[in-house]
Amino acid sequence: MILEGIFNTIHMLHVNDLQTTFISKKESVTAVDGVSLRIPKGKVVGLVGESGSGKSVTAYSIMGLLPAHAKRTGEILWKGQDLTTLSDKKLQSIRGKEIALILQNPLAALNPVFTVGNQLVETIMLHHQVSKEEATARAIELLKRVQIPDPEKRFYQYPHEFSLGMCQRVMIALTVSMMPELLIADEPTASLDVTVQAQIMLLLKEIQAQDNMSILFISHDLGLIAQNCDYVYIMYLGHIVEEGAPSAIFHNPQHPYTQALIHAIPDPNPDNKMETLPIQGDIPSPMNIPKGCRFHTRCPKALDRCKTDVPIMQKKGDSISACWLE
Amino acid sequence: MSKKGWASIVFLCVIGGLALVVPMLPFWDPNSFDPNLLLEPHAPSWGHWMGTDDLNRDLLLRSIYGAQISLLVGLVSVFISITVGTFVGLLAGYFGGWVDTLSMRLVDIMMAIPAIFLILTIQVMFTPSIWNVILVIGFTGWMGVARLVRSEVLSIKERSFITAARARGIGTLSLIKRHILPHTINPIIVAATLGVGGAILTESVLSFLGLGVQPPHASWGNMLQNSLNYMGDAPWMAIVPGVLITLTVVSFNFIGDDLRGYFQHDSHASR
Amino acid sequence: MPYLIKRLLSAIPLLIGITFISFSLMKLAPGDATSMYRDPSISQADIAQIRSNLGLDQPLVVQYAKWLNNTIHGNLGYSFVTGEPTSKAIGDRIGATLLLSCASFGIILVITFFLGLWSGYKKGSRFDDWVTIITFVGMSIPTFWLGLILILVFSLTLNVFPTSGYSNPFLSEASSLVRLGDIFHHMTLPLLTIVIGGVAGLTRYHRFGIISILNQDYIRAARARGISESIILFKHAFKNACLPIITILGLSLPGLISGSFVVEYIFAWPGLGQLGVQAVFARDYPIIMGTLLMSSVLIISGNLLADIAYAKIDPRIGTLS
Repeated sequence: MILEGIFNTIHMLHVNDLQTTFISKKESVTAVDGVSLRIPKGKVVGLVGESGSGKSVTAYSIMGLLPAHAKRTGEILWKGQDLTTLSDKKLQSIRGKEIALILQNPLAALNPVFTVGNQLVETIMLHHQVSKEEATARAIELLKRVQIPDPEKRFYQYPHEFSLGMCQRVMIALTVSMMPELLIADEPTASLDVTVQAQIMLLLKEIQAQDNMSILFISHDLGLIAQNCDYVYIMYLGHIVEEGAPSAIFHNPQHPYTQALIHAIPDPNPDNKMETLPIQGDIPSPMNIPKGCRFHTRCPKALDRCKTDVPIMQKKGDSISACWLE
Repeated sequence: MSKKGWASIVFLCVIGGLALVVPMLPFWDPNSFDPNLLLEPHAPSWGHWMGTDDLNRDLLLRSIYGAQISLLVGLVSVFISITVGTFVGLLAGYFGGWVDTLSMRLVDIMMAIPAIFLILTIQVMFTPSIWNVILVIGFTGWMGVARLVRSEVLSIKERSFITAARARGIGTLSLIKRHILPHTINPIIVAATLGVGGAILTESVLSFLGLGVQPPHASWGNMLQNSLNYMGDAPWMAIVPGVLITLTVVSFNFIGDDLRGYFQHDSHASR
Repeated sequence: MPYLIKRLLSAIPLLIGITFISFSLMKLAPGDATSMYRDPSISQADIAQIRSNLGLDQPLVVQYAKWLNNTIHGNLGYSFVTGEPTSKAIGDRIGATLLLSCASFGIILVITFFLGLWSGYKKGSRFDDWVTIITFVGMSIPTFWLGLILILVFSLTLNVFPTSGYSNPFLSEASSLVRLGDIFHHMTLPLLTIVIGGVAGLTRYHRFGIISILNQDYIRAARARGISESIILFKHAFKNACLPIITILGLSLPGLISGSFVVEYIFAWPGLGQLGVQAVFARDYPIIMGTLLMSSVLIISGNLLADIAYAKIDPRIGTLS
């Protein structure tokens, strides 16, 4: 019991064997299948995978924001409390206040018919006992903090009057206003230009350091993850296939999928001639998941065994991976 | 198909089958009356399952004959609307420019006129007949289809396979026929299914007002008109045709809705 | 307000188009006002005289131009049947029509809004299933038949509402409050008929709108901020959901007006619809054209109102000022 307590303070969030299935009359699709994650306090944890690998579904599962036809099993321990067993009311009080979410498309994530100020004030007044005037002052302060120029004017503008990058800054301001302990950032920079991307990442890291926030950073961009995270999970078709420190993942990847991802990153240095291993084919449909190791249909080194037996996660090199190869 | 959809198909098959077969059989005449009864409407009984009308004619038999007319009007007039609407929509969407502007203004204008008024006005000018009813309903109902087809064509035109086909030197006509039309077929089918219900409703209004199918031909609408004078004494005369209209129209609507859902699902899956 | 003026100006060609098309159709069709005089004692020469008196022997465009010119000067002609000025006939009727249509649209709007909102929010629930079935049946019932059934049940059987008319002539001496109550008493059945059809026709579209709004990222993001379901529904979804329902209402205005014409006729409600339908039967062109013009004006102003409301709610549309 004592040990467990210590464990839970180290890992704010402990996802254990999460399985999320979308059930329809015709077929059921298991988008997340047995995922386990640990997010320590004040750390940035990366979750990498192609689109369709189940990254976003993992995020929504943690937040309890799945559509009604989705079914979720496993444990989601938040500071020792299993979120899957909480009532909607209880969960609602954790959302935002303790765990916040940032989405990929910031323009779509802001309600188009309310001013940015309105949405900020609404959120501030929901989470803090303050008057409207106080909330307005705080909102403008927040806009300033996320480096939005002319915040007094911007406060009264609608989302469509903001650029995408500015919208994402507003989303970050909204997050900061709630002072959450964990931020789940689902591809926060994927829809932005590269230069804006860098600014937003910088802002996120700044906020993270100042508020000692944990971040679950979800991205398809392994390079971005490696630069910004303390620990990395690689996800493929609903499974975690490899996890470890970014240095280990980057310099000594064990799983062929991780290797392929790394080789797919263009290297600006022409002297660095790495063996290129492009990933063959497309990611299989979650409705038609391959037997055995899920990656075997695209794996250049697949053995006969990979087609029948599901590999388990084990320590190999400096990371933990699920692969039959020696 | 949902349960509602299947039930609708079964219902329409029964009604359609009866409407097709019964008039071909030599046993019954919808205008024959029961000489054993007093000349007044009779409530449903073993001899007449749905009762009789004021002339002692069997309501069930007349309803079946009425179904034939109503379905015929519904199907043929929708065929006309779909043909005209598809043609206009294709032209407007494919050629754009002034063709588009002109035809869409026409659509705007036609859609801003309360349809029933237009139909009544036209109908009162001609000698009422089944074919007039069909033509009038057909030619006043094409605007929605035209808009639909136009917007489909516009979105298809933007896709790369059309550019690719053009680059291969395929002519306009065969491009429309082989590449554009097949992609607009799903929404057209949905619109047609829903349209049949609408056309049957319009026919019933026209016949009810005495401007549609004329007696002694039985149609659901003119049976209702006939029932007006007996509302208090013989409510079944009003209830039977009305329920039949509602059930038929609701069936077409259920099927149309299921088809829409099916096609949507289909197009999502293929993407 | 340049936006408003622009919209108003764009209504003019639409009105001209509508009236020209209707006018031509009426003229091109065989039979005119003189077909009413089937009495063989009236000679061909007399009929020709009547035709020329009424201006029916002139070319189509000339007749239309004349009509348009007169209309612009406020002269809508005289009824072929009663000789009464068309403008007076319409003026006498428009109040009843506006009362019935505005009341029914208001009720339709409110019921549809909440029914669609809740059934979209509870998508797939038992409530939603029932709403779906009831709305499908409701929009498949012929309006006139629904009116007949309501008369059968509430007037002939239960005797709680009058079958037809606008007010009880015996109450003409009563206080204005009693007379107003009497009008509403007469209005209940026609109102109910229009509302049932209208709600059924619109709820489904509104439900689709709600469902697509609830799937938007901003709803998910709001939930992720811990905002309660009631605020999500009645603040975040509500204002957005006003947009599709405004569009739908604008689009279905001609259909709703068509429906209320037939309802007016059935319930002998002394409005434009009844006037128009009677005029059609009598081939009373000036009255037909006048009614058509009025109903087109109603439809176009309804659409204009819809546009203004839309622009007021959606900040992405060009500002009104």
